[in-house]
Amino acid sequence: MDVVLAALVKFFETYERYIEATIALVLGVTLSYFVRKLLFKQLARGMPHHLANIITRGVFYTLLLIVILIAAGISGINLMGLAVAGSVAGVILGFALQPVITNLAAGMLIITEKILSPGDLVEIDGVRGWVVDVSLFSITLQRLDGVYVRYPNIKVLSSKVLNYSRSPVMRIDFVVSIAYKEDAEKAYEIIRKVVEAHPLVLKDPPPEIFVSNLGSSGVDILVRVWVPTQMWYEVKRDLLWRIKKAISDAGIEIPFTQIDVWFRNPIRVEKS
Amino acid sequence: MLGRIEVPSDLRIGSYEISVRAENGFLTYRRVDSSAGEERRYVLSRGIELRAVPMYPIFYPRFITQFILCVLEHEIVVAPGASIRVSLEIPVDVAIYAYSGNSFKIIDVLALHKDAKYVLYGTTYGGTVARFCVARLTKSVNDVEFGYAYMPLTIKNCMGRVARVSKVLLDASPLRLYYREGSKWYVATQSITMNIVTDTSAIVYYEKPVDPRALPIDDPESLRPPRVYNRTDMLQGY
Repeated sequence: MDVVLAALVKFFETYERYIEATIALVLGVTLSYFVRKLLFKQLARGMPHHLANIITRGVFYTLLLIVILIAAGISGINLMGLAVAGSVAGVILGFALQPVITNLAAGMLIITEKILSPGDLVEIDGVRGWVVDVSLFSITLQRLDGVYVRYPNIKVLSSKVLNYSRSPVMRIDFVVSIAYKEDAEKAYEIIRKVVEAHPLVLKDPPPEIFVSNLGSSGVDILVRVWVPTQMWYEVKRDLLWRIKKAISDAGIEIPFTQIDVWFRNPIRVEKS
Repeated sequence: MLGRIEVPSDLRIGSYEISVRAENGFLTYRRVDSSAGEERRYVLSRGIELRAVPMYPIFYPRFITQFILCVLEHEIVVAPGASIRVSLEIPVDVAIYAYSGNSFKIIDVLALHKDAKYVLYGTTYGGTVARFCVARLTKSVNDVEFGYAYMPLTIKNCMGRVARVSKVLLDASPLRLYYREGSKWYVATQSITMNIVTDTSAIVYYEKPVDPRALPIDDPESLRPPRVYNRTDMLQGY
């Protein structure tokens, strides 16, 4: 019994520093994990989840680094040497990771300025789609055809970004042409009824229907409606078809492009 | 009509015909909308209890917003510092719930008002989309028509000027609907108080139910966020 006890004491005396470092590491990692959980819970109450997630991840990894350094100090590793090596490595990495750091800074700006959020309908450089993920380095967009596109944050920051989801409503414009011989007032009434009957066309702001142009082939009637932003595609797809059908059912001619050609001199047509 | 649906049973709610049958160890739910010629069927396991309960008019044609903008049929003018209590009726739909113990799912929404429209409350950059409805004046809860819920509204003018009220913005999350089990049609909300604070802003408070014996509906999942404040701020006009 005494032999075992003596062996244990000797073992602890020999490896005391390493045992203490291991305990510090385990306790530190556990504590960091709980701090991360608690912080996320608190932050998520007052800010978007993706932003809270990024902040808590940053805090978690910083705490981990501190814990590792403390554990290394306890185990007797010379931190001075590490610090010197770390600063040299930092300079080299700084040059090597310049694009990454630029993206990181752009990412922080995008997140803090709330330029984009997951779920937003946006257009970046002419590509329209839904924002799937906003991270510190890139933004993932799902195009309307379902394809995923990843943009580095610096590209997003330097591009023209249209965010349709910023407004709860969106305006859709249609141009409906009718032939000159048709009754424009009748066409107006038909279009008005179709627009007002559509449940997803907002009652307020009210729809606008007016003659916008006397074109070369027909009278252009402009239809402007406001719809809930998330419903724009559905309304756009549905409403023009309903208008076309109602106008055709009423017997109103929708003109095709026509050109009247006048000849300076009469043309003689000979029958062979 | 409202409450538990017995098996077997044949019901008529508005333009909808509902039949529930027990067949070979399961239940069948069949609903036909005679006005639109639509049909919906469900097969339900034993142990499911069906209930017909009133529902906020925000699920037809689809769920877009939890806000309901009630435009008053007659505008109300309130003197400075005064308050007025009016009885209103607002449109509601009917939902069919499938219960098993405390757990439930909404399996069908019967739209009683098919002329649904939406409006923008506020500006295009800071406003919100709301389901549009017209709130009509009524005398008492017993005079409320089928398809409507009784809503007592107290308007308090906290300003030193005359206020003119034309609309009330309701949030379906703190708003609650109450019904009487087995009643033909008894649907009411809580008492609603609207405090007019400035020329452009008012606060809507959701208070106690009109009838403490009436049963509250179980809110759908989409309307159960944490209710930190039991109020709606109307910051862009009333």
